[in-house]
Amino acid sequence: MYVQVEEVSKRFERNGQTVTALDCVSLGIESGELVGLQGPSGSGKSTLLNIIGGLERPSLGDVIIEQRRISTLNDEQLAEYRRQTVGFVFQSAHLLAPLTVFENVMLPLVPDAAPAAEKTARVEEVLETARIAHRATHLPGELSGGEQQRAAVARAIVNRPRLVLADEPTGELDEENAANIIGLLTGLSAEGVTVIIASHDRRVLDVAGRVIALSDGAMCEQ
Amino acid sequence: MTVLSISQGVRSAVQDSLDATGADIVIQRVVKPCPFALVKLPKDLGEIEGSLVTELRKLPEVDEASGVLTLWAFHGGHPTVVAGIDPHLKQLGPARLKHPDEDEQEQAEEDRRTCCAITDGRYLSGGDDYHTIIAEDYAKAKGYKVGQMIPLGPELEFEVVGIVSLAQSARISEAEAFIPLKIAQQMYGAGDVVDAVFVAFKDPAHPQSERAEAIARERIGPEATFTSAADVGEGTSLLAQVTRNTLLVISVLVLVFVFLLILHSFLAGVARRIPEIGILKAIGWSNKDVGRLFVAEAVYVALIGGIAGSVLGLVVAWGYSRVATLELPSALSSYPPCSTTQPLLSTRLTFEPSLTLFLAGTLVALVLGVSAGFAAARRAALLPPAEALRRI
Repeated sequence: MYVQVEEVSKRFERNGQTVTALDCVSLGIESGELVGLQGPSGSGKSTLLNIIGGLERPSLGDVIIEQRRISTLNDEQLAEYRRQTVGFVFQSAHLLAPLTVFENVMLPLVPDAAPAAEKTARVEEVLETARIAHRATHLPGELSGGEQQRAAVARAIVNRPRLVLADEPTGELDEENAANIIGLLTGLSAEGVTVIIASHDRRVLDVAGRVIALSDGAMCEQ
Repeated sequence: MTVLSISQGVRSAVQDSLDATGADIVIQRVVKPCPFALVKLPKDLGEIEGSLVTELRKLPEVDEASGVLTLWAFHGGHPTVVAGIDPHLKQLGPARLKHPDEDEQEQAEEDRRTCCAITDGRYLSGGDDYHTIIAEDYAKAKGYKVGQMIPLGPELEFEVVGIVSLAQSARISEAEAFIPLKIAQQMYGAGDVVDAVFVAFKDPAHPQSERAEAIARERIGPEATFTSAADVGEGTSLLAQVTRNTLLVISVLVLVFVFLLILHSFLAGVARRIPEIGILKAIGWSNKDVGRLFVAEAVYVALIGGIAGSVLGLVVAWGYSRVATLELPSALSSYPPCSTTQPLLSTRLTFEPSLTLFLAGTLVALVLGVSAGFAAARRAALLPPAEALRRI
């Protein structure tokens, strides 16, 4: 999936002051490419991911995904875009504590009208892919950090997205677990999924085909 | 739920007192109390010509009319409340039998508890004169038995031919002993007079009592009083009605307050779950999906709470009916202060669980809960996802 970011700026009003999170960022990402976003805290990495993923609207500019301009989508259309096209992986997994791993991974499929058996089969498939199937009936509180992140990756890919956005996916993981997550994400890229990872982690940036640096909301190098 | 159930019990209890006489209205003449006599009419009741009963019977809408003469008969310094009744009318008046046929009295166990039945001996018959049936409580208090001669009044003795159980409900014009009307009239010595007329209409649901009341008013004068189920209900439960209305107002205010509490609770729940809402939206849930989640939760909570609350309300109403009693207006019962037995002016509340009330209570809870749920759902649905995620 080709992703085009076209002169995107994002400004927030905070306590009467205007904060520029992104300043006229433009880039293009090829289908199946694994791109790293690098930069210090506050450089705008998460904001850029949110805008590409349809969680926020840019103040200026636009994101074009398969010839669709994100800015023209209403809230319902954005939600559909997120459900069918995008998979999010957050730094702290953000699994819902009262639900089991299986139920957490099923969440993106709940609004769909597909038969329950079909949804169940898909969830079991991605649990196997993420190597977390043996913990399907456990609650997130019973899992290690690495297991939670693997469950989060499973949840992100259960809808077969063509774009996966990961925000510091290895930030809280040790060497081994970080390697597992990186392996999953590179595997997705190899299957043609466009993967954009915001990270400080050298291990992630090393496997990226391209690294885009941000500083104070602006691109400074690629 | 509790207030409405108890109110229903009050209405049933007061209706029972009139039902126990078989009458739809009771006609009396209220006057200033007479000078003291050994045989006298109770308190402030006056004489009514017995011919009024005959005239009322002729009305096409009247099923039956019965005149009763209730006397305080003093003997040995103690009064006995004696009621002269028509022995032919076992189904109308203060000693009405639920099952007039003697054979049916074999099933009298339930009747004794809920209405009235002969427990020993027989009812009065047309050929009786100085014969009496006495109330069970009076018989026990005095140790009287069937076949015994007992004094009723200064010089007269009557043979006890039967003992009648008048159940535990407060009764209109109740007495300790019942004798033939003609004998009571002789004792009183004023000719063919009564002091209460019981009237039963052919269509109790639509009594059409206007003509009967007009005739009575014309014959008796401005002192005529009329007591129907509505009047008994008004007089008896005036306090209960006031209490009921007050409680209902309080209940409505409580409902409003509870709704605001529920709304606050649901909205607080949305605030607590902002990060969860952000995650749901990030993984592709639309605003409508998030809203439906909160509404569905509200429906479950309201349904469970409504059922539990309605059951609790019924339990409280049942408990109240076990301990509470209702007082009839004393004018409807004619015992002097120093009588052998005391008038049963109080009646128990009946507990009548109503499916309609139960469903209505649950429905009210559902409406309140879902309304609050919609407000919460709207707030959750409109949360910007990125903003929600920042709260994690």
